[in-house]
Amino acid sequence: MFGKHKIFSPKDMTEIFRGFEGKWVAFYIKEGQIVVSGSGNTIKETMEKAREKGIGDVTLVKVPQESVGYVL
Amino acid sequence: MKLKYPYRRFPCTPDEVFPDRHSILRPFIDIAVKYKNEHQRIWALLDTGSDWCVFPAQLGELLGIPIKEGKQLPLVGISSQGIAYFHEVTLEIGGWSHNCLVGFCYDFDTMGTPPLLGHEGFFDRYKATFDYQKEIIEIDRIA
Repeated sequence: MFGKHKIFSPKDMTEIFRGFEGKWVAFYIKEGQIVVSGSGNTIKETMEKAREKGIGDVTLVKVPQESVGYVL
Repeated sequence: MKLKYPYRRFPCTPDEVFPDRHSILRPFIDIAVKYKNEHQRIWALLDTGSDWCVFPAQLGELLGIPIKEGKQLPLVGISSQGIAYFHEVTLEIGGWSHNCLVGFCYDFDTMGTPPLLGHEGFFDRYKATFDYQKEIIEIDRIA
């Protein structure tokens, strides 16, 4: 396995990701809770914000834009 | 052993078509992507409509991949098109990992498309069962 990767199973992200629609979010898990450590319009910006907080080991998510349906 | 992932519920705003909808379920799973000595954990969307696994180019750049040195293939989506540059990476799903070719697409960056897990590189390696009613995705490795 790479680093500390393991299956993580949060289900309802509505409150955690509200306000981040359309953005990249970096998060980590602390005591079983999601902690957002950075966000931005690009991965680079998001990771820089996370690293400024001293947190480099994060998971990246592209939060879908509000009211935009995926038909991929 | 099967891996179980929940569908992830994301926020959305009610609209004229779905006035009572405040959230939407999508089949994102957490994986890790490795290239040489770099790796990154991400949430990727299971996309049975995608021929290949395709990620935003900026994710490849984060991993130090020389994107434009990869072999190119054109992509066509429902409302967009672009070019993907393919590179071999390692994908880790749960405790399983495999090497495969993944396309990196600059157009994903501008369109806001998430990382996609498609047939070549994912569904050819894993059996995925989608249970929308129970909001569960089961993934099993094909022997």
